[in-house]
Amino acid sequence: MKLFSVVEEPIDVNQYQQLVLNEHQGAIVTFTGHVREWTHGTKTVHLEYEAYTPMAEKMMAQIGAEIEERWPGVMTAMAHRIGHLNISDIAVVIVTSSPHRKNAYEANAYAIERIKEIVPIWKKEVWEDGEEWIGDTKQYHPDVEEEQ
Amino acid sequence: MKVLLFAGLKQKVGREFIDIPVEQSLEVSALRENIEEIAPTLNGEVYMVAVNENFVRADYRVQKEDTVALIPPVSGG
Repeated sequence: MKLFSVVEEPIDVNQYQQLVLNEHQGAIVTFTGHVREWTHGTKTVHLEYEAYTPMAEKMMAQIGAEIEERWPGVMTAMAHRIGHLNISDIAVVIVTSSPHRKNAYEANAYAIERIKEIVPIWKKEVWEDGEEWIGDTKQYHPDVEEEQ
Repeated sequence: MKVLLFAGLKQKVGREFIDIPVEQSLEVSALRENIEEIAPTLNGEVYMVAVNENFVRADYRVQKEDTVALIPPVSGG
């Protein structure tokens, strides 16, 4: 299994936890993001996620490297599901582990923020009466890393 | 040069990529101008340009063998 992956099948959280567990780690923090039915009063029927998969996996690995630099000793794995997702399905899982819990919590919160900034994955909300591709409300700029 | 499209951009153009004529290389800013001509439906759209799976700036020079993609604002998570 890859540490950083875009997947089409339902996400099994336990598999990702196993990827970041070894004899040094005393804590695993697991975040799962789920499909929400109601967003600002609009009812979602289901979501479609699309990825630029090779770049998405590369950007997720970059987030893992950023975490390793900020919180040495933290191990990270993450996966994002694409395709058709129903209400309450897991869209994203992030697991971070560390010898002591504090770093794993902080690194995990950092990872989801970065996913929402730099990982090329998009969701389309499908409603009863239409559909729309959703763009990040923060739009782009500051946090996008450029190749040097 | 094949330029990959995703999500709303792909939907607007109705294709997964657009072809841009390139002799050897061109800057990203020039690439954007070419895209406006070839796919005017993308005018006014917000996107970053990725080359070989990395985000690049407007002054980056794209080589014709590079893999280029237009990345609209992401909405994963």
